[in-house]
Amino acid sequence: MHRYFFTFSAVFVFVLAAAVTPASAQVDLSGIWAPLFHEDQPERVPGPEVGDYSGLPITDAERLRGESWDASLLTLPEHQCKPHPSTYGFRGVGNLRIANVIDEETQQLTKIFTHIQWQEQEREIWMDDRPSPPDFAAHTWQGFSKGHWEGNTLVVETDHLKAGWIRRNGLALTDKAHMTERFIRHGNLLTHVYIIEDPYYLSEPLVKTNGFQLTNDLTMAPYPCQSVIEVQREDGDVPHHLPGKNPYINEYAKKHNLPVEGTRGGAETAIPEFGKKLKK
Amino acid sequence: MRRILPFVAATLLVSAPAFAQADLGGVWAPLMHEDQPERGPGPEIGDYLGLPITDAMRLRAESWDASILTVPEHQCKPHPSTYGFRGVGNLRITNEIDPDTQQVTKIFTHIGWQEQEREIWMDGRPHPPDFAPHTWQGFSTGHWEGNVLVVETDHLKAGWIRRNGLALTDKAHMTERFFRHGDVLTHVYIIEDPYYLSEPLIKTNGFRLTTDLTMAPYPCASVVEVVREDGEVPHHLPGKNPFIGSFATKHNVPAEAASGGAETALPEYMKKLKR
Repeated sequence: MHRYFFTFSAVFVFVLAAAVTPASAQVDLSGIWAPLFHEDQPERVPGPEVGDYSGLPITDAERLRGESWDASLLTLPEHQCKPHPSTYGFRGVGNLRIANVIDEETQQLTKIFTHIQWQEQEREIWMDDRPSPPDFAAHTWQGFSKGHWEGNTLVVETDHLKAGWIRRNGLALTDKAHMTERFIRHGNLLTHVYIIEDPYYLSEPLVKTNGFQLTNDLTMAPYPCQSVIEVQREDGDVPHHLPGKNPYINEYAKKHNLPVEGTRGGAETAIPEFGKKLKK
Repeated sequence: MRRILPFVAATLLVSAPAFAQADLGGVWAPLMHEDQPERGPGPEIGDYLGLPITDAMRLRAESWDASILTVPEHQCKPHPSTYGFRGVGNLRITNEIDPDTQQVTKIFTHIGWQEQEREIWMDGRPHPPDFAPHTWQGFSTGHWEGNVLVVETDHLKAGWIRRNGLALTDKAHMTERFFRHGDVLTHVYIIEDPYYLSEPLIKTNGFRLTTDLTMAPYPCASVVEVVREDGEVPHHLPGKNPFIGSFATKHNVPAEAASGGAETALPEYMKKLKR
């Protein structure tokens, strides 16, 4: 009897200890982080030039879609208040607030919130191992995100995205896109690595990084947005360019004296061998 | 157009965040450079040196017996907010933000030992009426003075200021100031008690920001540690505490000074003792 009691007690204590012991090496990412623009500033702040797809692993379908895009689309009331999708938002200019939700009983991290000021991009990253929703569940700008720790790196997987974008010049994503992110904290610096896959618009994963610096500032202004009529249009008039009719698409190549083929993008334009191919 | 301008101005005023609010969020480790012997291992019995206690407080403290902590009803009680920030556990601070206004509506603090949870309301709400419940952490409201968080707390249960029986009444009031200097946090607290303190008690605690997110839970269940008769509560009757003079004897301190009072905090008190 005693032996069973002690065996049972030892197992119970072990299970309890395992249940309450927090996963080691979880790093606190909370706070307000200011984006650093040492990387890709011309694309991220003033914005990319029309037709600049250099070095991006886009498919022919993505190129066709990118070329049909007209910047005037953003003047439509339906497009004025849309936030960046999570596949682009961390690349923008707004500060990033990260907050943790802790379960009171277990002291385990159940959710990480991220908030970016511009258009109030709010993400929920579930840390409680819940399953992803079924395929038919709603797709949103920020998608459905689940996170886990690999050492002290937060790894996040996101799907259920609306058809979003990877660059502010018409390079779109389908709603089948999937994003994997890694958040790596080095003291007061945060490195955000994101990898996007899209079975229709990307021939290879797109890999980019963003840097952030921790601030001590708590304040972040709200971003109320209300659509207005910016341009009077006929009903159903949507700014676009038909295939082969975009007059601006080669401006970028001409301005920077680049081969048009290089600016058209595609996976091979990212590698040094492409330079040699062009010289042949 | 003239009708729109006041609306736009009002919207800007409402939506503009208050300036210079410091982000105190994160997990902070206590720094024990100050008062470590009292805060880490614990104060000695009868050490009231330099504390502005009243005669009533002294009498109360002298009746205290450390064995009271073995009574089941006392085993799982958390530190009150008037003491908790002085303890050894890490402190987690989180902000609650209103999604529409982006204003901080509440600041949560959590200390590991006995899961001390405080809510500091930042939304300008009034304190509850006198008859509202008193709790270990009390009712706290905060505001910013520049980038310093100032917190006022009342509705406290009868708590303590030191772990050797120096108690507070439930009429105590605490004012705190949180200063952030980079990764270092200074916490200043000022306690007033109309019955147990003749002057405000002022103390400071230091913390350093960690990047560690983890904090273990602190489940607590009472057990019978010492078998006692029903109704037996460890205590000392007035004048009968045999340990009360041991601090003064051990450190060769005048017993009068060890028994505290506001004047024992002042340099002039030394001259008085020498007379």
